[in-house]
Amino acid sequence: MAVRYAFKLYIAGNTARSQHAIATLRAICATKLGGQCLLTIVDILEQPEEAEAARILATPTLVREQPLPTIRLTGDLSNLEAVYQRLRLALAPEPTVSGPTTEFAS
Amino acid sequence: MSGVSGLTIPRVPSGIDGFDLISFGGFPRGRTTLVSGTAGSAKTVLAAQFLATGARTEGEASVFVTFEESPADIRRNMISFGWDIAKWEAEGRWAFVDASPQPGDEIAIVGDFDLAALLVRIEHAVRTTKATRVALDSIGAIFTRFPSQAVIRYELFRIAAALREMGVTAVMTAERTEEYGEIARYGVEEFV
Repeated sequence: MAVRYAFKLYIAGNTARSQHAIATLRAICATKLGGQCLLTIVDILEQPEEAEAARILATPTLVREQPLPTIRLTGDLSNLEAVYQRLRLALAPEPTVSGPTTEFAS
Repeated sequence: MSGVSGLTIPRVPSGIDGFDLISFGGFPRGRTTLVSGTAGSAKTVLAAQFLATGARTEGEASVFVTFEESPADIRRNMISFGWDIAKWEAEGRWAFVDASPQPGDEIAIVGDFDLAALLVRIEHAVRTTKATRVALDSIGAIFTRFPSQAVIRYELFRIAAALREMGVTAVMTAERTEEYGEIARYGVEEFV
């Protein structure tokens, strides 16, 4: 089954801010995207070369890789309205299917 | 030149003869110096020359953190001064940290953030090349791209502290709007 949405979330260490961004992203996937998400979490403290390759400056940074076009969002996703607007998501929740698939890049 | 007491900070020659003369030897070793100038006053060239001197000196290496111009533009512009940056990159004596804006790259802020990734990339480049010199050109550009001055100012302070920790001699360029008066456009950089 092809995954419809693919996100990469770049974080700097396991901080409260990182945890908030991860939790928010998972919630958005579950409630708005029917769970059809592949989430990859990249800790730039462990993998600085990933930050360099993707030219990341700020953390957290969320990159939507699928569907195109690629979208980049800066911040811990606490401004949900801005997140939905950028990702063009309706504010009303959509039916939940299964949970998202989460991968930790290592 | 008259002797200066042993209490002064040692200097790193910039390679710019006129500057090394008026600054008693160059930039303070192991510190970050702010160089501010009006637009078009050749701040990027000064930063590049400082780094070129490092790339050409045995036991030294340089990292150029560029917030405005792309590495390709800098390579192209500096070759006319006889600085073959691409060659130094191939030799591991020079590395770019490309923090320049990408086409279509509009910063969308959706919450709290910091610039930890920028710091990590700088540290990674310094470690990889064993750099002794770092230039950040120009920090005004990072203020315009991100909306929160307080966050950017704090993150620049963290970066300056990390540069000191790494023992590199660094130059940060900033823009000023007039020849005299405010030192830098955002009024905060001189306190970083």
